[in-house]
Amino acid sequence: MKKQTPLGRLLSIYSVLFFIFLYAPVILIVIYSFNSNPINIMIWDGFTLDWYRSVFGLETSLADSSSYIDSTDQLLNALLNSLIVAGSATIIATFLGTSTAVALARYRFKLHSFYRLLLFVPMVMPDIVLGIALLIFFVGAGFTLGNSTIIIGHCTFLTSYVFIVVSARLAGMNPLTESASADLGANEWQTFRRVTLPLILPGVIGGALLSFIISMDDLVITYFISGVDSTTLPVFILGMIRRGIKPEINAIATLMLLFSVVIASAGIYFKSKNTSTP
Amino acid sequence: MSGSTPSLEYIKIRHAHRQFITPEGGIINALDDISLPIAQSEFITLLGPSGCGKTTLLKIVAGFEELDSGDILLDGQSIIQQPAHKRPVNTVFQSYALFPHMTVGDNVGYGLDIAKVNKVERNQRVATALDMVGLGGIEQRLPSQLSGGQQQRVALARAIINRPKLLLLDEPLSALDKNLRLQMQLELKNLQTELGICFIFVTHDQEEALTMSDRIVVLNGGRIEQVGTPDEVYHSPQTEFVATFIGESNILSGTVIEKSETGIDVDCDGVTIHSLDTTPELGEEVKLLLRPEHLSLTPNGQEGAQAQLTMTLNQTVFIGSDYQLHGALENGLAFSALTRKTNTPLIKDNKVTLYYQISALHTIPSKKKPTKGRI
Repeated sequence: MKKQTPLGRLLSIYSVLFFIFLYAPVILIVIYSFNSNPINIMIWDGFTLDWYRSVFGLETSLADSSSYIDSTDQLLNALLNSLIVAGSATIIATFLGTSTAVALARYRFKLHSFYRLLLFVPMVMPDIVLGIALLIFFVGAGFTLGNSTIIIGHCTFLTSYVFIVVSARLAGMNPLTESASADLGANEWQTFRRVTLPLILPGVIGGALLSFIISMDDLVITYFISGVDSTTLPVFILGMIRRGIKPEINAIATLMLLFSVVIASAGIYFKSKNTSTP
Repeated sequence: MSGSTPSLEYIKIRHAHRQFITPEGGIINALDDISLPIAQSEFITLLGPSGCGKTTLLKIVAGFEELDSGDILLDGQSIIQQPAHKRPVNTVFQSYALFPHMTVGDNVGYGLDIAKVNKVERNQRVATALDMVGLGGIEQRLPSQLSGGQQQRVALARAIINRPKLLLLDEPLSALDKNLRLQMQLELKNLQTELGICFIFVTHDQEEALTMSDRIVVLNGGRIEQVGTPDEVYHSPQTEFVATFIGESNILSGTVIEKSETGIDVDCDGVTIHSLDTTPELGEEVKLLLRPEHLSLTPNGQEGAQAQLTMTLNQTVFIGSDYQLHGALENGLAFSALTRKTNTPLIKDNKVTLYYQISALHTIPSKKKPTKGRI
């Protein structure tokens, strides 16, 4: 092994500390989700799966007071809402973001760079501003707040994320392959389906997974534009915490973490897949 | 127009104009009144420096660029209104532009798949096309697994499989190393003869153009400088640009000071050159071309009048078969010769005598000044 200089060693220590700082809270949540102490969630009292059982509405040895979940149905309902919202918003945003990225990459038109700028704005706009703006718009326009308003709201910023991921992929693509396709007799649609789309597909899937995660996770904007029957999982969890922090929250957080890691891993896998273009 | 005999005007480019506006607001004439007839099974090369309009012209024929004015006829039909995918024209791109996500077989078969040719015929034609370019049996490989030369051949197979009436080649050999390039030049020419279709080949490499072409179109600044066989453009260039762009050249400019039945004497800043060309008038400014390879260190015994020039040597370069001599004439004009080594010592600052056949001199027609007395 190469001998390390003192500065190099310092850098290694710094890196380790950095990752501890980054991941320690998350790891603690995972560990304490198995803690059987019902009163003080930060004092280890033995291993249990009761919190998970409680989340899924299974029978536990816990006293009623130590559990949040009055009804697992509510939790599952919130989860279902989240999945419906994230699924719909992802499909719409992926379609819009991809077509916008292709249009801006392949065609030159008036206000071209202005459109590009407009697509970046929703990403940097504070969530609370976007949330309030959407709420005023929906109420003003006579929408009933519910899943549909959340889906529309999410699409406003998810489109930007998809746009950016797909644009990066398009930038790395040889535009002459599209010319070659046209030259060989393919019309624009055939070219898109057989050449462009397969080549940008990793970006499209990556963008879709990113959108899905962001939509599942969004609290601030959703909080403003969700209706009575359309509580999503993050909004539901916020409501739970308002009634005091109980160990069950660790189990829910761990499950969400697991879900996110799976989706994110899939995203990274698709993004790195066949990036080699000759 | 289409008959049993190959048409000499199968493709007609008529008064093609194309302008580009630079970011600074200037106007560039990419194509300035280009008119060109091309025969049905001709290997024609568009040759010129970068920015001469050759690639623009190719893109317009392919359908990737539009004309400002003018027309292009293919077999009597105007094609400029047709989109690229409807033209019976295929292109081999400079960077190959293979589809990286498809196998070689799918790349080559792409045009047939689009045309919905049945699988059996499609597979058979793919195999034939790959055989033609010497790559039989690699259908299942991906482009990224092939060398540059192989990718080039796949691009070629992909472009000829639709049996185009016209094949366009946009500097297809520029990315290959020299040996492979020479080999591909011969193969391309053979392929063109075999297919019997018209190839329009774009290059800035004059050697490539001379090797393969039936005719060469020399372009400069969006205009045609000369159209002719490789022999014509090399030995009888019509402009100074053509003379200097193709091959090595010595250009002697001067004024006609003597004229007789047998020729003219041209005074080039103190050096008098005798030429057999009697067309220039007394007092006219002329440019004479003398190729370095027509000069030698010994007066050889061939028939025909010989003349000589004295050059002060500046640099000698050994290039294998011959020596390149660079130096200056008595009037200070930079001059070069390509010659066999002789007993003459080739030492810097020495004076050497160079001999040439007077018939090797070529007069470049002066276009700018219409001369008096000529009708």
